[in-house]
Amino acid sequence: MANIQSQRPEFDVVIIGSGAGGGMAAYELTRQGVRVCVLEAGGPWDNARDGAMMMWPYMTERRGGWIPTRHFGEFDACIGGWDLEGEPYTRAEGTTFSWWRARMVGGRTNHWGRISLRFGPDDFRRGDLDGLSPNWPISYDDVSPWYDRLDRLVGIFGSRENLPNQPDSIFLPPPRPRAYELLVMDASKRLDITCVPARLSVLTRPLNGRPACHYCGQCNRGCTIHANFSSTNVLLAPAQATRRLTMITNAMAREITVDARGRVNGVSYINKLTGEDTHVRARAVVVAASACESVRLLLNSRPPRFPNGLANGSGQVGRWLTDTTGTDVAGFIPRLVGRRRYNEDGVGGGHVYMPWWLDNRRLDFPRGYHIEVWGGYHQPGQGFFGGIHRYPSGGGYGVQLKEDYRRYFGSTIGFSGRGEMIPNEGSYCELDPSAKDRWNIPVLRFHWRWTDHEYNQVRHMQTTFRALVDAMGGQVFSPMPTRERGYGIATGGSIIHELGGARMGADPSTSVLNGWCQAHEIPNLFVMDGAPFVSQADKNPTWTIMALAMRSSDYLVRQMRARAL
Amino acid sequence: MMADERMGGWPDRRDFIKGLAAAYGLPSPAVAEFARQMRQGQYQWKFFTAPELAMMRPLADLVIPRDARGPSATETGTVEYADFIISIGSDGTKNAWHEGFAWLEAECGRRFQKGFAACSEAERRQVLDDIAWPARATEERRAAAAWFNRVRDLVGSGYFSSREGVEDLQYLGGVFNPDWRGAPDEVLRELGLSYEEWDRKYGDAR
Repeated sequence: MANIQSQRPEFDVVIIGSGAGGGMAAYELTRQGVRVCVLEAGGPWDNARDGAMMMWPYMTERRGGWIPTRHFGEFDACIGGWDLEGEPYTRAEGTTFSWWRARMVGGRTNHWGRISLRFGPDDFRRGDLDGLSPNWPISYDDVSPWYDRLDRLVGIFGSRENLPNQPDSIFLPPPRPRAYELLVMDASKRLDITCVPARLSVLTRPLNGRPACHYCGQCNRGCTIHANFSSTNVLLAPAQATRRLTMITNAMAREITVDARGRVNGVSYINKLTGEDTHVRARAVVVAASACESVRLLLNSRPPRFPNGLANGSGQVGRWLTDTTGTDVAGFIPRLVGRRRYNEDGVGGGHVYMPWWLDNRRLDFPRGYHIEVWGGYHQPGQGFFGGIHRYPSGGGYGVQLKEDYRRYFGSTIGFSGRGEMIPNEGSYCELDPSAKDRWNIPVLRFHWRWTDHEYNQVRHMQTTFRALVDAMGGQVFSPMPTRERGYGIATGGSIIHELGGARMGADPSTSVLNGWCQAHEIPNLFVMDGAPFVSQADKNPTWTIMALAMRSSDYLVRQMRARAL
Repeated sequence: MMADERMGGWPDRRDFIKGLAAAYGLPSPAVAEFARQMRQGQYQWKFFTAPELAMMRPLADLVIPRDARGPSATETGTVEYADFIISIGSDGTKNAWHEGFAWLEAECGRRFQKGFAACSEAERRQVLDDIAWPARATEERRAAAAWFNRVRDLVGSGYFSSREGVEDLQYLGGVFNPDWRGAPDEVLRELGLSYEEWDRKYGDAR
């Protein structure tokens, strides 16, 4: 590339991305004395300054509704979207796939529901158990001490349950359930569904200088007092305090550069504000740009020595991409109609959940799902109570309607299933042969396919959720989705849990990274986001992304100290 | 707690409180400008034509009238809200609204030989009674009933998300509430529920 302006090699490590993986790498590396540069493709964000925690919808003309850069509402703390101007992606013919990208300091940790579940022992050895995807090269015991450290650092509430394959964390006490969640627990018990306190990274007690939650229910708006987890609040602030972190925002990584020995030596990036092409040098590179964006960067880095992209001698980069399966059902619960008011906010998420509770030997699909619960008295904003004509009064207008809104408020309970997709040959991403973004960087093309494993699982979710509503004496307004409609399966990518694309493994011919998230072919190149995952689990991935990033960063430091890097 | 996980760089307690004040109060310039416009009745109409606005005002107050517990739709800025939300909607949404108003005007013409705005309240109600319960609407009124679902949803959402509507609804959250302890006993009693088992198993986080 012409016009590369080289900086002096002032950094030990350059990290691409500042979310769960990149933020954790920055935290752990700077803590251990390493000089780090983080390249973030989005702009700065400070929850204390930029969060809209206590805004009321009536304070703006949109009443909290959608805006182009805030798909989940104008007060939502995550800047990004399914479509970013000037940054397209494409889909192969017949593929339906949606790609969420955050563009801000803290990445997607500004968005997620803070459901913080450990993967269990079985989740690392699916090859042995059902053979539908390979074992991981590491086991639960390798990761467990790092989960422990993570629990103590970030803080998580929950309860000790000793459930199979659902390891307990080191928990802060869980908040009491809302009234409607007690109803759900009761119905679950009657249906033999395990229902326990949720596991969320929200502080119910002060921790490490951060105050406890004040239960305003608006975690997604950015917690102004840092009582919940985000990379910005909990990882980047202390990293910055070491003075060993240099954060460069609006920096779109274009290519990882390689020296004559075939080691990476830095990253070329576009300054999005000036268009300038800049190079930053380092002794090692950590890619943590989110699974698919990391794949894209590896494939776009094609020095003569690695014509198929970095770490891609096996041709495995971009392969075995998965997302969590999902479907939702909501029910109207007559028992809750006209109930007495109270402040039902709680934390910004469910206080109970159902971990996977069944035995696959008696089911027509492999692996499991967990259930998230929602409902109650929510702050009214744009779109409040749409579709009230489906409730028993059938619509209408006037004094009767006004009274119906009051009576029916808070009488809906919803269930969201989040399940494990099996990696398959037909779900992957690659460089589009012709499409480029606004900086002329080739973009990704997605291929996506569900199999009967996922369809049957989602059908089971639908049946279960309808049974739960029924057990509460409720009514579901939407019909059971047909096979033609995929039993209501959410679009691939839309659960925002993309994993894989640079999977780890013991065999360099079938994997990209070793068990330390280190490239088989380039020892000073690491990938520390969702891309190294060999398989999903019926658990949200963030907790495992962070535990692995912490563990791999510690390994990176030890390798540097041993002069192996 | 592991000592080495203690963080540097954290604001002290006073800074937290300052942060809280910022979160509560001082809205952004755009918010302040919006509040000023609404107060002074200076809203710039973006979607409704003048004849549509003359229909929308009485229509909105038929959907959400003033009653013992709260004001009406027009008294709470709901027609302005509806205008703004439709104006940023899709072309399909905009067309559906224009077509709905055209149907309403034509229907009043057929029945009463005058426009909706000129009809008496009783006449207006006669028309709405045929489209406001979609399951009862006749085949030829199905499209009108679908449009009225939009009217109901937007007016209802606008009213109940207004400051007065939130009060009417008695939504009690959205506040700094560090002592939150779940549902009060009387709420649970009415539902036949109790925290007894939960507290025995999990303690009480507060």
